[in-house]
Amino acid sequence: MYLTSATIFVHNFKMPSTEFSVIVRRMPAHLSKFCRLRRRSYHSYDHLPYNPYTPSQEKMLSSALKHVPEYGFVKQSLVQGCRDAGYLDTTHAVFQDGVFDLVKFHLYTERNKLAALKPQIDEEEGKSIGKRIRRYCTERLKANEPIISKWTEAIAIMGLPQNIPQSLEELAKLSDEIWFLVDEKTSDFDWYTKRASLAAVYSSTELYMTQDNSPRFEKTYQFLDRRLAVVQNAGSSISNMASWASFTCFASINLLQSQFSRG
Amino acid sequence: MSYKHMSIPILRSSRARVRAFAPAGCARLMEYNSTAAQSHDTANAKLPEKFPPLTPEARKFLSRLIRVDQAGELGADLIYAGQHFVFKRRMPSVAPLIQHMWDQEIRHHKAFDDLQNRHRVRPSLLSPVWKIAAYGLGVGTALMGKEAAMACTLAVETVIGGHYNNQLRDLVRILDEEVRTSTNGRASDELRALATTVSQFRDDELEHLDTAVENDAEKARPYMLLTETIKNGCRAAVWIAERL
Repeated sequence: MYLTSATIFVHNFKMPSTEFSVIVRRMPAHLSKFCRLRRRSYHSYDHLPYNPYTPSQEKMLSSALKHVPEYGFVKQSLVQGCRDAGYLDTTHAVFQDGVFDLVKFHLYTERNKLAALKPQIDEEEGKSIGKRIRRYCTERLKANEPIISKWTEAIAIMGLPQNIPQSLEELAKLSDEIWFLVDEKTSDFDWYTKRASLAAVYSSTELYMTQDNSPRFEKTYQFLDRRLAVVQNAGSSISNMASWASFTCFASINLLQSQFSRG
Repeated sequence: MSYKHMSIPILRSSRARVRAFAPAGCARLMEYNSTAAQSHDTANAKLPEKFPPLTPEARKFLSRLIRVDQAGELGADLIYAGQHFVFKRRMPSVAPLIQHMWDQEIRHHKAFDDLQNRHRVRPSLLSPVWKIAAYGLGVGTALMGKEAAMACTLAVETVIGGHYNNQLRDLVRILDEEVRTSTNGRASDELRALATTVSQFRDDELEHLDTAVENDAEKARPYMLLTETIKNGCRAAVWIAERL
């Protein structure tokens, strides 16, 4: 019996180490840049949030954003931003992805502004999830209004092959942020379908917005309403389908049981 | 903290092997919780200072921890659900025992669901797969008999107990580092609470393991085939759930 135990004994004991980083194996540096897609999704309440930008980078990029309505998402905005922040013109080389870093910064700052709106939106829209999602999408789209003339440029930059993974990550983060702010609590596969559907709605609406000339972007917000209605209908029809299927299943089982119990 | 003084005894019963490491986490946790109780100043309550941001490695570890534990509790919940479904009809005397263990698993599942929502961790992508597999395993082993069902519980709880132990070991290491680098010699409440939760759940799972052994788990035939298949299946599921 000892021999059998010895042969099947599996060491699930990890070798101790003083360095925590050894526990979770790190990717080698030359490969890690291809895997930036990996999101470290864990939000802590006791720890300060993880900021991917240093204070000087934030200063440069926020000044650069002020020049975007004039120059667009081009190197000139970055250079002007560095100048305004008090650095040399050539400091823009710090941003390895160039103008894409500027686009990402815009997405990052606008996404983080949504959390501040939560008390107001909760008060105004009450418990309705659909209405609150509409409000958050609307507020986020309004943030694009000042630079909408340059937004097609930004979308083109985001669509470059080397930028696509990070652009999708930003879209996913926005979708996750909105669902989190409406206090949605799902723990199974629905978590993914909800976020995917909202990401699709938001990105299609943003694209529509770039070619919308109506006053105050009314047509964009109507487009948004239509897209959200489609998703809600799909959601309710799937749950109706599931109810029907489970009812049919149990009814059939009961019927079979009653057949076998006869005679 | 050195682990060299702890030898790994090769013991007959799998549960004794798991138990050998159980005290390690508990002693440290009691130490952290008592330090917290001493330094808590109720007369002069200020807003708690925030700790420096977690490293990407720590966040990756914590998100994996919550994801895999949530998937594990979902699996355990449904295994007992499957076993209860069969025993309620075939062997009603065993049903209350299964119901008791099931109730604890439901509690664990709910706790991890809450943690997953609170900390915005993404759940396992293969949740539907885990649901079907776990329910099928529960029903299948229950149809094989009471001993087989108990052997299934033994196998699953051995893997889960060892897995929680490993997580606890790493969590305690994170807590150590936080204490070392913090200004007031305390770790964050959030992480201490998480470690306490994992420790309590580990103890509950080991209790289920003991219950299974007391209820003729080792009399199941074929014992080795059944338990080792289930254990390896669980280990594979744990590895996949951590990543997917």
